Amino acid sequence: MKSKRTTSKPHFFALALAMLLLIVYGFMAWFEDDFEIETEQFGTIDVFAMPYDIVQAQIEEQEYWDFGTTLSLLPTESLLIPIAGFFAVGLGIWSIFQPEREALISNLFVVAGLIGLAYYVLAVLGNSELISNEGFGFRLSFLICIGLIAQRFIPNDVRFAIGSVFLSMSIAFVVTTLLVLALGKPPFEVVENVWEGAFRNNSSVAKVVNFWIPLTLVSMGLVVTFRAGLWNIGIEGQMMAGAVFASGVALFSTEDQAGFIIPLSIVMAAVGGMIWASLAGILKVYLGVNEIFGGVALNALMDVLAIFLISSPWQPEIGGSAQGTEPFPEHALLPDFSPDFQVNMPMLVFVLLASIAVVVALRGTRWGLNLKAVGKNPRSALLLGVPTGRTAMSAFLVCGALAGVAGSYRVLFSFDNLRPLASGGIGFLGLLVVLLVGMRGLWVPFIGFAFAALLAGSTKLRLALQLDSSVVEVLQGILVLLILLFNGIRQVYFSDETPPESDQPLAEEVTS
Amino acid sequence: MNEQLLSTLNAIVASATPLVIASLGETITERAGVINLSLDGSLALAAMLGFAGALVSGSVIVGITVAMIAGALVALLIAFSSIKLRQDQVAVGFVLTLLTADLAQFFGQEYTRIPGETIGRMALPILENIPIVGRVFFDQNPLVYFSYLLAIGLWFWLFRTNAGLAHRAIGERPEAAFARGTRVTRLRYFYTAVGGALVGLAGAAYSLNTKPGWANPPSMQGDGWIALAIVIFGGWHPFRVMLGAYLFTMLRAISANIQRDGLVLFGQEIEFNFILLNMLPWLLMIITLLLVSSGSVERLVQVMPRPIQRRLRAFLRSNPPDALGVRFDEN
Repeated sequence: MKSKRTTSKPHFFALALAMLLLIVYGFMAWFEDDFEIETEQFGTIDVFAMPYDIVQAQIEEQEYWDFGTTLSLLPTESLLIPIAGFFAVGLGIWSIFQPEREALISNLFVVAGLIGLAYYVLAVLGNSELISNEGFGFRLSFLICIGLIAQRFIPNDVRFAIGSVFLSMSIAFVVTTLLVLALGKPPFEVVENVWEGAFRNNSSVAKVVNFWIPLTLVSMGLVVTFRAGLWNIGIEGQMMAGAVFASGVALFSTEDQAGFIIPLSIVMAAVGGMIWASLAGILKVYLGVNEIFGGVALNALMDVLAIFLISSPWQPEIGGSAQGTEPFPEHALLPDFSPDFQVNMPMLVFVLLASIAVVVALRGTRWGLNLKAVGKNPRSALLLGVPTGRTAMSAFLVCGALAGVAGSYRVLFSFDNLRPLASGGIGFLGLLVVLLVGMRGLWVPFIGFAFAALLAGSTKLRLALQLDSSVVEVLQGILVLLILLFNGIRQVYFSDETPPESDQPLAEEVTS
Repeated sequence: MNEQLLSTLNAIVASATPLVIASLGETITERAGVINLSLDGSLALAAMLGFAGALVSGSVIVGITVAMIAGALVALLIAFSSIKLRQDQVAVGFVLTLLTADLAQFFGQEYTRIPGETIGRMALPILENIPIVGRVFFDQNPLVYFSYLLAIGLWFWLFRTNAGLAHRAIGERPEAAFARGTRVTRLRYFYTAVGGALVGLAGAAYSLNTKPGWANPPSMQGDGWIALAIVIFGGWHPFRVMLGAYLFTMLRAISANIQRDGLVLFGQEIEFNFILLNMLPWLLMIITLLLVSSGSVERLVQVMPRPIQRRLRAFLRSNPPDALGVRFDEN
């Protein structure tokens, strides 16, 4: 690639300054043993372990810890680390947006800066044994080398994508941290609690997987509808429909049907989801009601219907309330894999197979091509002979079936009865996941896992810190919003070709 | 008229007011060609911030101001991402719906179920003495009067002033408006912010008056979507939007009444699980959208007597602004 080097002066100086800071900071990390300083309050302390030591001393002295005091106690030398880190991240991000060669070193800065910040956070968090005397500097330079080598093989737009993901994540974390601080809660303990809630032991990992299974199912379904240009907000209702149908089968099953009752209830759940999705589809395709409003209304209708069933016909005989139906009989529940790892294996396999099937179908079949054509431009698709109405309906049905199965997993495994709002917001979370991955099905399981881990980890917060679990949802929301905004920034400022037509007549779509 | 009916009607007008203000705000936004889909969440966030602001400062005015600023900021974010960054308004709006609702829940955790400031009732001196009408419409809180003024003012603005013509033009034919010297982008930002601020005001009206305080899940959950549907039902016309909001609220009041007291038809108590009545607003939403979007209105008009056909068609027409959700670059 031929490129002319055009470095403006301020850009050059900024680069030089960042380099300098990075070198200083790298050297400090390298010779960390030599960096011991005298403090009046705590005696001789290693610069790098210092935040941790100060925190410890403070806790011993005052029996509590607050971030503000720690910051005020830290001497300037140690503040150099986060400053350099922030600077490197900021500059790296800035140079991502620069055309041509400057962008090459951008990731280097981002990576180095993030390592510095992560290091600092770890130090303050208290895991100082992770970083002290283990050749942190060596690891840093190793990573920089990898980054440099990797630079040469990554095309520009991918690098931009990586950069904007990094940037979005950092901003989302920083903003959420500020929000948590605003409520007067310790942000590091929030991180710790979420992490422990998700990955402490086998059973917490199993909990993550149990969120991941329905989340991935609905997200894969949503990839299909999004590909057809449809906003299937009715996904929550479709999940609930699946849950209700599965519950109907499970509640009225008897012992001697044990062999086929589970497959039957899952199939019925898929049918239920398809029925509810087809309502949204009929409203959209044949009656011209926008699927967003139709979906929202159908969600609410399904919620009311579930509450009605729970409080009236399916009411438990003793102690009937609107809390939930009677627990299903044992033979109707999905079995655990093992007592240590409570996950239903066949369903896990099904999720993987379904994900692969969706990705393959979208990429390699005529149906997938039709969906894409309908999504990009319904009118020309129709002129080219694509049955647009039928294709859109099929997208709704596939999505509904997957959502129904996801709903059945919630009631037949995560819970053991039907309760109001059994979908637990997973459908909407799926929409966020799909928006985040830009409708690329291949990425869904991975992002879905991160989101599921956050969701599972957040359940501990209320007990441990009296903090509402919505903090992780805030984090996820900010993250997706930033990704969308960065998409825009890339398309508008850094793309040679004209941006994809995102201005198709939405008026028709949203308001008709 | 009996006193109970009058007080019920009075209560319906009062509790419809947030919905009226929110849908009028959204009308302003959509008339300028921008869709603010985030209503359901931004109402909750504004309600929460308005309540907290009033509680902390001890002044309702501060609470309302905070709520309006929050609503305007959310709306501006949508305008910015669609005008400047060319992103799908629906996608950004939906993400903001979830995000603002979560933010409200997150910040509201310290303010759940505690008493706070409220907006009091203030009867209008002379008007309240008009029989029936005075009791129903003019024995209310200041926000209700504001909603009347807003509807009338918006109608006058849109259809009787030059600036209002420009407002409609940037939603219908931005190219033409631009060619005539209208600053399309600037005006779109402005009207989106105004509409968002009104949505914020509506949120504050929920938490400071209709159902004072903050709870989780918030009392206005779902109302944002209903407001969006009302705008469509109202054909982007202030008076019809207002009428739609009153109809929806009346229906909800009736179903709440039946759920509380049971239903007596022909002297017989009807045995029935009235939870299902909660479906009514949503069914009405689907049905009204069906009516305005599937051409059934036209068929309905054609079976009517000829002399009133033209007026009826003009009244029932529901055409979205042509450039709604369509991007326009000034250069």
